[in-house]
Amino acid sequence: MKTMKQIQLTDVRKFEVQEVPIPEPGPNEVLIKVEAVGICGSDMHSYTGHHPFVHPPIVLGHEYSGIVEAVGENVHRFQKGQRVTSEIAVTCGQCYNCKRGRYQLCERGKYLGNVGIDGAMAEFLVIDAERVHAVPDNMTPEQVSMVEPLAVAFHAVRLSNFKVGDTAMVIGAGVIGNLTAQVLKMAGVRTLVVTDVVDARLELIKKQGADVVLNPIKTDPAEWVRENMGPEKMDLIFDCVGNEATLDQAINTARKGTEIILVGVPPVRVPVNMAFVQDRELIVVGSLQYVAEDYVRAIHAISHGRVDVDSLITDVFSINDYEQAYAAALDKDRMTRGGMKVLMEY
Amino acid sequence: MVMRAFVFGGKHNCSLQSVPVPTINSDEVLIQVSHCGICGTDIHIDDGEFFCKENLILGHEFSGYVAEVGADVKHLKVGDRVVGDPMTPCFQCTYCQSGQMNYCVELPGIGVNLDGAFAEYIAVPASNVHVIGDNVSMEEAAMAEPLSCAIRGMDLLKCKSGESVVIIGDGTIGLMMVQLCKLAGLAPIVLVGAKPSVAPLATRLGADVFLDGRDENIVERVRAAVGFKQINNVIEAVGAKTTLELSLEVATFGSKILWFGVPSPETRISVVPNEVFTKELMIQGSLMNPHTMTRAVALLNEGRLDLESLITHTFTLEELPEAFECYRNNPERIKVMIKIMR
Repeated sequence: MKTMKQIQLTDVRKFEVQEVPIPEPGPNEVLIKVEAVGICGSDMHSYTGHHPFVHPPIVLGHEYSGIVEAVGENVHRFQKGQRVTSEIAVTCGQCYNCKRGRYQLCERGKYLGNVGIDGAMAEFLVIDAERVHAVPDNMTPEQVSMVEPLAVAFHAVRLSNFKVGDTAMVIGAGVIGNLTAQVLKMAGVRTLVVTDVVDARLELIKKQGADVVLNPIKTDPAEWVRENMGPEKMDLIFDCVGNEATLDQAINTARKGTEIILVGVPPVRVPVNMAFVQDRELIVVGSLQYVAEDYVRAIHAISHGRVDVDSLITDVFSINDYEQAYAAALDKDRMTRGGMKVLMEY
Repeated sequence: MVMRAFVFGGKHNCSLQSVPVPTINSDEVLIQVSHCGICGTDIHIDDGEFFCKENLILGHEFSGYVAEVGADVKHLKVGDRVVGDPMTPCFQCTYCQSGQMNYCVELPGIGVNLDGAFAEYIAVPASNVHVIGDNVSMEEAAMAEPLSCAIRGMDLLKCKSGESVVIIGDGTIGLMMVQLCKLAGLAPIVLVGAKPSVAPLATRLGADVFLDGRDENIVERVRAAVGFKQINNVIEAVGAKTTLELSLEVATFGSKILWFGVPSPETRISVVPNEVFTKELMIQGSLMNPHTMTRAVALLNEGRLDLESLITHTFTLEELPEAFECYRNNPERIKVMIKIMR
């Protein structure tokens, strides 16, 4: 039996390199050889034991690029050697939301590199063929690894009531905030305001097209909007962080009737001013992951150069240096210096 | 085991035949058919206008009793009173994956390319089967499917309580639309029909005004009936050239027009595009019944609609040719129902 190396998270902050059999693709499944894998914020929570739903032992890694190695029975859309990436949700196809195409909300979902399916910190992985997407040859493995976070951004904007010419604020200029801002720019936002406490991140998104960047430590965004924007203030606010300070900022900045889209993952309970939500008819919408349409959009946007993901890939390691890669991902100084996505390559 | 079934053998060549009772897969149930309604689609198929596999049993608006349950079926048991959703998508294509099953590339469907319910028994995937309340008669239950299609149309129209509506067509769908619009709080509800004898029924079901569509001043009469109000919604439930054109002629500024009636593929109509522009008209089509069967069954179980009154003629399976004839030529018919279980 052929074997492969996998890096399993066996306990909090503890990885172990293991020699295991290469998995066999079952019916409707694809075996993928991993080329590159990114470290997501949720991976860091899983690594440090702060993720509410991810528990070791599990092989992490869900933002990845790969090559089809083999296909299972009934798989006709893919063949060996094809470059691909995939969505992460493997779903029942039968529950209320699955039947309506919102399968990321499946009642019985499993999630690659998170829950129930080992992820891309291994030479090979197996995933449901329905979730696999072919990628064009002009995309590098690093760019393909950014399809997943970009799909999150597309989903958030598609889910909202954004219309061309609207004004929008994006809270947080990390990878998801940056990509959400870029998708809004691409979709024809009129005035795009991005806020973050890290100046280096603001400089990057300013270069990529934000009209205004604000650091809430120096400038109160709500006050800035009151003084500098017209009566529409902000039509939409995307919170790509999701803590008490950012939700407060969103609710305080909103005009009456503004829509707030929650993309960041908040701790379970956040004390915020719900009286404003009621009194001002604020619309608060949660946005979870993505569906196939978002992947299709993300792949096209990268391959046609409509979104800049290259500038976000700031730290690239060999997969063998996974310890250093995780240490870098968790390094606050690196972030202050403008560090964004950490990638590992095979 | 054999059973009686009405088989489509090509254009104008349907016949009663003796065929084997279908066998079921582990995720299917066998239903003994009680009633099955005739739909305009069946007539279009018989006329050779719509695609249909040859040697297929027609009929897709049906009710019946569960006669046998596949090994993997958990939520149904023998004897359950049920209706079946004829839409059997592939669940694999891009459309199915995004929840738009009515666009499925396989164009699947009971009574179109899977054997239908003009037969004593039919095999149906368990996930397509809905149990009906004891208070719902089997003939009324057989109309859950057209009702679910009408609900799809209402969903797409996005009409709101307090808006006006003009419904063109006093057949089964037109009179279902009257009731759905009444439930949804639309006012006034103006029904334009071709059967003045239906007026008392239409009024009882919720129409505020019945107008004869053959009147040469019908557009003025509709406008007068709605009064000074904008006509927010127009529902065309016939599918003929004259009624489709009328749906555009009666429209006012900002009207939304639902084209629900199924036209023949050859139908061409005359449109004044400038009117669509100046009035910002919106024309909406509606296809089949994705995800609406649950609500159709719920409305029947709750007794919110009267569908029994729409059944004007009932025939047996042996009398299907006469039933088709009645559907085509009897100007007074509304729903023509086939009572299959003896």
